[in-house]
Amino acid sequence: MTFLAVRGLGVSYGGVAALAGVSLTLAAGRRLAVLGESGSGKSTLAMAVCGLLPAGAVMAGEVSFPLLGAPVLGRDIGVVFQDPGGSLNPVLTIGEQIAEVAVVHRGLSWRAAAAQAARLLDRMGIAQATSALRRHPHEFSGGQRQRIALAAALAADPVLLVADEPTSALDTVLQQQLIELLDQLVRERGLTLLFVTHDIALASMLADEVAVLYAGGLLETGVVGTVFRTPAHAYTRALLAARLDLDTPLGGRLPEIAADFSVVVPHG
Amino acid sequence: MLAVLLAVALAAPLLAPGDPLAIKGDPLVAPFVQAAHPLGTDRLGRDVLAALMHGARTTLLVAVSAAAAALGIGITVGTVAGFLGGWVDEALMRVAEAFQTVPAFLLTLALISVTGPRAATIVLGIAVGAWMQPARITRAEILSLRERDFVAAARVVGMRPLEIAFREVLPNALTPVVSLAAVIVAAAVLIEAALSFLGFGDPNLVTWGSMIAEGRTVLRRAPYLSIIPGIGLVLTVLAVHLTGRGVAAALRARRVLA
Amino acid sequence: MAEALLQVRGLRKRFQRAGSDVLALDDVDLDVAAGTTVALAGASGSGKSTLARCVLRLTEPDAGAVRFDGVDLLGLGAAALRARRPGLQMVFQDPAASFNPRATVGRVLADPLRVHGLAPRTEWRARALALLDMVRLPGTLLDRRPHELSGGQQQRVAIARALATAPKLVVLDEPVSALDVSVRNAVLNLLMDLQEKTGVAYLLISHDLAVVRAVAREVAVMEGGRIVERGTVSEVFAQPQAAATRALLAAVPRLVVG
Repeated sequence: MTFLAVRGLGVSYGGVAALAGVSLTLAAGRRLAVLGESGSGKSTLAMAVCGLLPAGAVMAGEVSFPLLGAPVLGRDIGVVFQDPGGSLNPVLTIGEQIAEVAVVHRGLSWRAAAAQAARLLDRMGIAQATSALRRHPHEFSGGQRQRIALAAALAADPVLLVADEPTSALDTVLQQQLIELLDQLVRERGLTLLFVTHDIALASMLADEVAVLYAGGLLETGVVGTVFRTPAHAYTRALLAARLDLDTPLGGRLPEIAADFSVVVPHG
Repeated sequence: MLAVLLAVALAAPLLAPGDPLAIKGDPLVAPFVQAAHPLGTDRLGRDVLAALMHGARTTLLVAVSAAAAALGIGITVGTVAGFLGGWVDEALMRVAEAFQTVPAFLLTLALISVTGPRAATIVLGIAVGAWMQPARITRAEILSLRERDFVAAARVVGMRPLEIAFREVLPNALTPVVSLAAVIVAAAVLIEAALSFLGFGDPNLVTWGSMIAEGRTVLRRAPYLSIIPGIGLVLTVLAVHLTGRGVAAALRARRVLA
Repeated sequence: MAEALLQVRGLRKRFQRAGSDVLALDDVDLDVAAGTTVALAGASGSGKSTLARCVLRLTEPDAGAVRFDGVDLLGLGAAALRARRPGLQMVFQDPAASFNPRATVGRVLADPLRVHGLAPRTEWRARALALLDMVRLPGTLLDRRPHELSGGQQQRVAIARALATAPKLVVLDEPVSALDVSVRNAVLNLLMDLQEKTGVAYLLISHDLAVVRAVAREVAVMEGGRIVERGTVSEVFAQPQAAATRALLAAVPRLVVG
């Protein structure tokens, strides 16, 4: 059953189109990676799905949730942002912030919500969860703050988790840990996942399906394995060819992407 | 609005030539009665309109000079304190606190009692009483900018600390101070007017404060002598505030686009 | 054997963070030979950025020696240190933040020339154009401000600025981690070309071993303020000895197509 349907979505800010003519569907329990570089509109797409577009953004087209009707942000949709520091309120303790989500959206008592918060923090790997509830965000490292934000996103037991470049501000080791954690949580809770990334390898590791965006347009979409084995669009091919990992052949220069998406290896 | 005021103030000597303190016509002519004296004349027969325009000149000159001086001192102190930090910062901030305990008005009075009533003294007094706020604001901005990468980059390039402070950091720290400029000018206008009203202004210059003071003695018979310069003050302060807000808004808009 | 261009010995740095003491650098030794690229790899908090900042004396280490081109930088006074800056430059992680928001590209590139008197004023524009050419950017960017450029262009300007003084060593602090994948390789290629052309040495800081592998010949892995493993990239990556190295290697994302 289709969980999320996006039809002809377009978003513009002050006359400039950030996104145009994007259509895709996502089934319940599936994981979609929205892949693109800066200016591709990938974050805009995620925010449009959440209903978090800033005031002044003009939206065309339709975002619908056939199974949910009208989802409530915070209760049915949990969101994790890129900046580990920015999404948490520096003045409140983390316990308050996580518990508040459950109190507001699920009507839990503060006591029950706090107990749940401690359980969530423990699951996220935050040591001494109960005493951690009373600490403030600045007392934690960037990697920990991102896991706290994840706990807050899941506190109201949502069905959809939207993660906007959740690991871009973290180093590779922390990134790996967070991705593994996300993978486990999504599986445990049967969540539907939409995550935004610029890293093609990350997309392949975590997602079932991928949507490739470029300059506000959707270039191709499909099952991860298929798209990356046999990419339909030259841009996807170029991203694959320009990838750097531990198996990239060395000696000489690295492949560069030209304006027409052709891949050139310059002479060193 | 301010532009009109500025224009009139600058053009005053052209529009109303001659000494505004010279006696021109019959005393106490009401405004809008005689064509030669559109705003009437005062007790001694001096033309009110001419006095108003010259007064505008003096008022703006004093206020803007005082504000400029206050900003000059304040920005310099704030930049040095914020950038160098350590004991320099501590020392300068203690000095600022000391000055803060004395209201600008009283400070200026004290200075006048020493030098006698002179425009320059008034400018100095107001400036010395008002530099602390720009200093604090500049310092705060500098402190927040100091840790940015572009400051580190300037150090790596090899620039000297004061060069970095004044050339790289300060121009980026000025936005909040600009809004403050308008407030200081407005306050200076009022302080100057109050001083003149009390009789401590420069007796050789016509200012709106002195006009209001002069009008006090004939307030019943010719209220317009005090009211007209009073309106002038209100309009000027309003104009300065509005200009300040406009400039701040324009700077904010530019920043957002950048 | 000739003395290495950069020799770090026994570097130590302690920070006070949130009440507790953090030993950011614990007795670190490092060599960079002229014309080579040495990578400093590690997770966040490993001390690699602190080491880079200490080498450049952006942060003052508590103990140790930093010999660059035969001179101990830590023993130099402020003026003498500034005089040595041309030989040792840096490219920062976030290109946008490493520029004065109000400066044009032309001014950014002329600053190193101006500060060290490397060219008369009349030649600045020509030299800036030559630098832009060297990093494969069009001369039309000279009068633009850095924030008007794309991330890749900004980083190229940063590289041009670093090379303006013909340095012998450039510290590259995560030079491509803030850039899009499609421009990343172009910037890395540019860095390699420039090394071949000018013989400059690089100290590359990176948490991404894929980047290290593509660009560096030697690598030193840091953890908890110490260098836990060092050697050539091929040796270390094939036979990692330290747990930190293994963790970093395992963390490089791999494309899953099965």
